[in-house]
Amino acid sequence: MDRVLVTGLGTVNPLGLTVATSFAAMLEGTDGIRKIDAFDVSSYDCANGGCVPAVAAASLSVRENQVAGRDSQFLLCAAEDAFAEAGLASISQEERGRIGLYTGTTLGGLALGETFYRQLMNNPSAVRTRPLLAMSLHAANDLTMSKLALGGDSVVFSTACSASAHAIGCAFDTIRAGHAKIALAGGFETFSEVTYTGFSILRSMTSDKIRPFDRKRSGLVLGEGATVLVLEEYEHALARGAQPYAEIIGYGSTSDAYHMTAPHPQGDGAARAISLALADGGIAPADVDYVTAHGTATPANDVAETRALKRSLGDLASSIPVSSIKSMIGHTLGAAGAMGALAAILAIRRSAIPPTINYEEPDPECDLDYVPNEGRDLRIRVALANSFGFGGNNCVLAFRGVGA
Amino acid sequence: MRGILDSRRISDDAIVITGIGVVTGFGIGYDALCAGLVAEKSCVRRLDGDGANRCRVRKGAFLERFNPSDYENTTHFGRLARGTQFSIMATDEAIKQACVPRALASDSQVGLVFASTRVALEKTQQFYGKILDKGPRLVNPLVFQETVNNAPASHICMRHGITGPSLTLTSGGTGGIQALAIASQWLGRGKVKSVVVTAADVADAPSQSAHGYARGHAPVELGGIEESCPFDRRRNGYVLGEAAVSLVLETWSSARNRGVDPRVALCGWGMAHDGCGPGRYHHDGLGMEASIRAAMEMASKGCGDIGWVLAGAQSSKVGDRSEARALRRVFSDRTPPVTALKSAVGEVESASAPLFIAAAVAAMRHEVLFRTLNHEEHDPDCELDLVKSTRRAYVDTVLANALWFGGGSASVVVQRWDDGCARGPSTTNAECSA
Repeated sequence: MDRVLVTGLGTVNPLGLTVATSFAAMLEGTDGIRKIDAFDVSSYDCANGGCVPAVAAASLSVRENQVAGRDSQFLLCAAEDAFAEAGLASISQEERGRIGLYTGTTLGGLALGETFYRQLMNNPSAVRTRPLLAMSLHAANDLTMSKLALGGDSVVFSTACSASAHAIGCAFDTIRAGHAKIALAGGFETFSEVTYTGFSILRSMTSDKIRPFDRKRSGLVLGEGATVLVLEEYEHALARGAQPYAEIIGYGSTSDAYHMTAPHPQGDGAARAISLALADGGIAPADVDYVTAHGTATPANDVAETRALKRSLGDLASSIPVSSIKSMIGHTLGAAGAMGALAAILAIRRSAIPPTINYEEPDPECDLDYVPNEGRDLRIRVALANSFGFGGNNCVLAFRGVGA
Repeated sequence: MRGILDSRRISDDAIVITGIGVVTGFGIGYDALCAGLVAEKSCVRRLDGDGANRCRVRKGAFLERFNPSDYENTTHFGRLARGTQFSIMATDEAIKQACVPRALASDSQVGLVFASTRVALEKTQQFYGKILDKGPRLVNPLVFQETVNNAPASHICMRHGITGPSLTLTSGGTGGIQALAIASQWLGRGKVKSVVVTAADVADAPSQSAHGYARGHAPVELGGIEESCPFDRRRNGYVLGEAAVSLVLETWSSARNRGVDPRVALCGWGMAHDGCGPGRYHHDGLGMEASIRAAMEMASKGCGDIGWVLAGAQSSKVGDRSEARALRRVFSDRTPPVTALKSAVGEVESASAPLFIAAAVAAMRHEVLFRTLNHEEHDPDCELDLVKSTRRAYVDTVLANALWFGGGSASVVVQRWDDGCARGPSTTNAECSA
């Protein structure tokens, strides 16, 4: 009962609309950042982001695709792919009725909420209710549950940038506790003016390229997208002949209790989360072959994360490759944990590590192996995925190769 | 989690609630809730203010004359969202009552699960309004940090030194029970020794206006009744309320070792989803039925064991009927007494089920079943043993439900702690549905 496999993956992100194209682009070190056209960015210093092209969910009609929020489309597309890839399309309605969906998001459909609010301010009598319904953070889950005919738990996590990592961790716990055999877990995020303005006014965003762990790093670039994992109880997956990507073996979660927006400078909570994930998985630092970092490229985060890795992995930290895929897709906020999980799982499966791009100048305070600019072939037994959120919410997931 | 009746004796890993904190329209504190319910009062009042003036609905169940500085006279507390303030106040009360040591919290042995549907909306609308009004360069970053949904949880963690896991759920009205389920799983795996579950939603003006435009809020049909009257044939939409409820969960062995008396035991929970699409319920309450059965099965409770049902019914035409049908299918002709507390406290969204648990503890203490207010006209689609006037009763085991727009449903079973744990035998779920 304690073993849980990843038997399906689906994603839409700035590098591609499928798992295969996305990871191939990651390994190539492709820069997915371009000018944002979701709203007017002329008043901002940073005009770029990790943008996803228009998507259309297969299970939605043309009309439904027009009506659905972009967040719902992202989530549904990723969930449809993960569900089909896991070979679940033909399972019985009874079994679907027990499958739940655990997602993380920071904003949900806030972009539509902004539309509602503008209408409310300009002409209250002309207000349309559709944006209001769609802005609820659970609306994307409700649509996905409906279209995939799922009847289990539908839980939405909103712990800022660690939201989807927590969603995956809690789904993992639910299966381990014997409350489910299969769960879909992941995250989704879209651009919104509120978040864009917020990070801008906090001076967290850069007008330069996003350069995690580089001495010249000057901030993050936002991104959007969705990633969904199918988690499945080990025996159940084997019994139905599923082809697992990897095994999820550990989940560590802590709170900094330190500051609303800044990470703990010594990476205290982050280090504890890493150690908890290792302990939960019954593994030691020597078992870890790769870390997909939170790596936002803000001056404070990257130093704190480097310190956290050193505190938790000890002397081995300097020999373990650490890379940030945010350098290629931007910071997808609530979806970032699931994006990191995707990179960790595929790195295990393909024995290849995506690089940290835009890395030019080493920072003495960030002195680990950040896999600069070029992907690397390496057999990986265990990979960690770090997520550290606003308000001090830390979550680390541990994955292991099947049979490793 | 094993049902605590498994062996007719209390198991060490039984989940108990050792602290309760409440803010509702009745006032600040658990005692204010008890007093309001015992006196059969309603929190529903007429709303004033700019936000309400833009809205066609003018009623809400809210806390009147709340002045944050009366609770804590600091700039920091004063600038927080109303829902964050309420959350902090409820959590302060629960932690104090449960005597959770700060050393335990800062040693990562205490976790927090926070649930809310729209607490962050107040600051989000304030922030976005400034963007539209002044432009993106002149907004206040201190307001932005409060737009993040986990802001209340982060404030609570910093205030109480909680360095264990901290989660925020935004699943809607089922979030409170989902929070209890996650907390139970953490305790079951030994991740922490105590978990604070806090749930809150508020009836601030922007939220009120948002609900008004959603057209679920009474009166849905203009000219119809504007009161919250669940299961009544005249029902015409819900009345929005506000509440923050905090519960401290731990295992019985932890509470015993700390010398803390449990208030009630959490015996089981269940969750399901109708899968009918955004904003919709299944007309027959299929998800609700599944969540009730799952909660009773986990609690090892049969139909005859449930002494009272606190319904999630909110006075909506479809939702109330769905829940009534689900209850009828589970309990058949032996439906326990049912009360819809939202008739008194309004639709308090994520805080609903935690508030029902607090009310259940009050009912156990006072040995009464609180009544459903405003019920006058029987609805043949809602054939239940509705508690229309306060009843004297020894309440042992209570089922509380939550259902939410979009199809989410959740149920939880709680049991009085004093002598109820040794009671038995249970009937089985199979007997119920026979």
